[in-house]
Amino acid sequence: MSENGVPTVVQPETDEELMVQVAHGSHAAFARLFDRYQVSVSRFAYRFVGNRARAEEAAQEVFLKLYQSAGTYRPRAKFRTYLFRVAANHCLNEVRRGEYRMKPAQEPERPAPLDALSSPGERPDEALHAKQLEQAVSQALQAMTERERAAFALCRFEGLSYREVAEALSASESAVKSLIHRATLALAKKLDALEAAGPAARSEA
Amino acid sequence: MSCTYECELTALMDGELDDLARHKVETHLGACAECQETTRRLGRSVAKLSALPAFEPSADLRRQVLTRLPDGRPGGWFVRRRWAHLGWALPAAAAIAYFMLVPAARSPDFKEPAQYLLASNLEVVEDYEFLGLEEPDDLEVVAHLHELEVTP
Repeated sequence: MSENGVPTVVQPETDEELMVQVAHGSHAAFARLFDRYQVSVSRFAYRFVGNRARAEEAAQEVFLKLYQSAGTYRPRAKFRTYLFRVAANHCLNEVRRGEYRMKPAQEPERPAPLDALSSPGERPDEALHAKQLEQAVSQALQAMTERERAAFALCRFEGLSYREVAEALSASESAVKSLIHRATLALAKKLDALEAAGPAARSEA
Repeated sequence: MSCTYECELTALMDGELDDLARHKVETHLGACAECQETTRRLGRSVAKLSALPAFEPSADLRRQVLTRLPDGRPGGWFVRRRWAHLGWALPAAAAIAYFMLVPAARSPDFKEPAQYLLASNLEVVEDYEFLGLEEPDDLEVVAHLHELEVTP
C-alpha cells in the first residue's frame, strides 16, 4: 500500500528475474517459471517427437536441464529463447538417439477416440474433422526433416519470430526462413491432399 | 518449376521481410499467378492450425518435475559450457573419451571393427552439427552413427 492509501500494483517478476533466482537455488522461482512455460514446452515436444508419452518425458528433461544450467544463464539473453534452445537441443538429441538405437518397429500412436477429442457440444462431423486434421498435421510434421520440424513448431505453435527461432536453433535467419517455408509448404500440400480426397475417403483415414 | 520468389512468400505472410524485400515480393505477387496461388495455399494451411485441439500436459508433470529438482544451487558437470560453438571441442572431447575408454585404441592398430567404425564416426562428428553433446550417453550415439548409413 502506498503512502496515500492507493494500493500499489506489484509488477510480476520477469522471466529473467526469476531465472536469476533459480541460479541461486530458488525452487519457488523455478516453479513459477515452470507454471508459465509447461504448456509451451510440452506442446513443442509433442509436435516434435509426435508421441505424447515421449513428449512428457522430454519436457521433464528439458525443465531439469533448465534448472541445472541456470548458473550459466545470462539475463541479457531473452529467457524464452534460451528455454526453447534447451528444448530444441534436447528434442533433436532425443530423436537422434531413438534412430540409432533401432527400436523395434512401433505402432504409430493411435489417434484418440473421437469422444476424447470432441468438445462439449461439438458435432460428430466437427470432431471427425478435428481428428483428421490432427492426423494430417502429425503426418506432415513427421515427414519433415528434424530442423524443419523444430523451426516450424517453434514458429507456428509457440509464436517465436524468425530471429528467435534462429537463436534457438543456432542458425541464420536466412536458413530459418528457408526451413519454415519448406515446412509450411509441405503442410499445405498435405492438407490440400486431405481436402481433395473428399469426405468418403477421409472417413476411412 | 517453382518461381524464384517462392521462398520469400512464407516470410512475407509472416511479416518477416524488411521493407525493401517486402516491396519487391509484393510487386512480384501482383504479376505472378503461381505465387498468388502458393500464397493462398500457405495462408489456408496456417489458418487451419488454429483449429487443432489445444494440447494440455498431464496433471502429473508438475509434480514429477518439481520432485526431481536437486537441493542446493544448480551446477555440477551438467552446467553447459559453450562447447557446441567450438567445432573442435566436440570431436576432441569424444576422441579423448574414446582413447580413455577403449584401451586398444591407444595403439594405432585397430583389430576390432567396432574401433575402426568409431574412429570413422568421429570424423563424421567433425562435419555433423551435433548440438548438445554433453552427456556420457552422447558418446554412445557417436559410436553408432554408422548404423544410420543407408545401404542400397
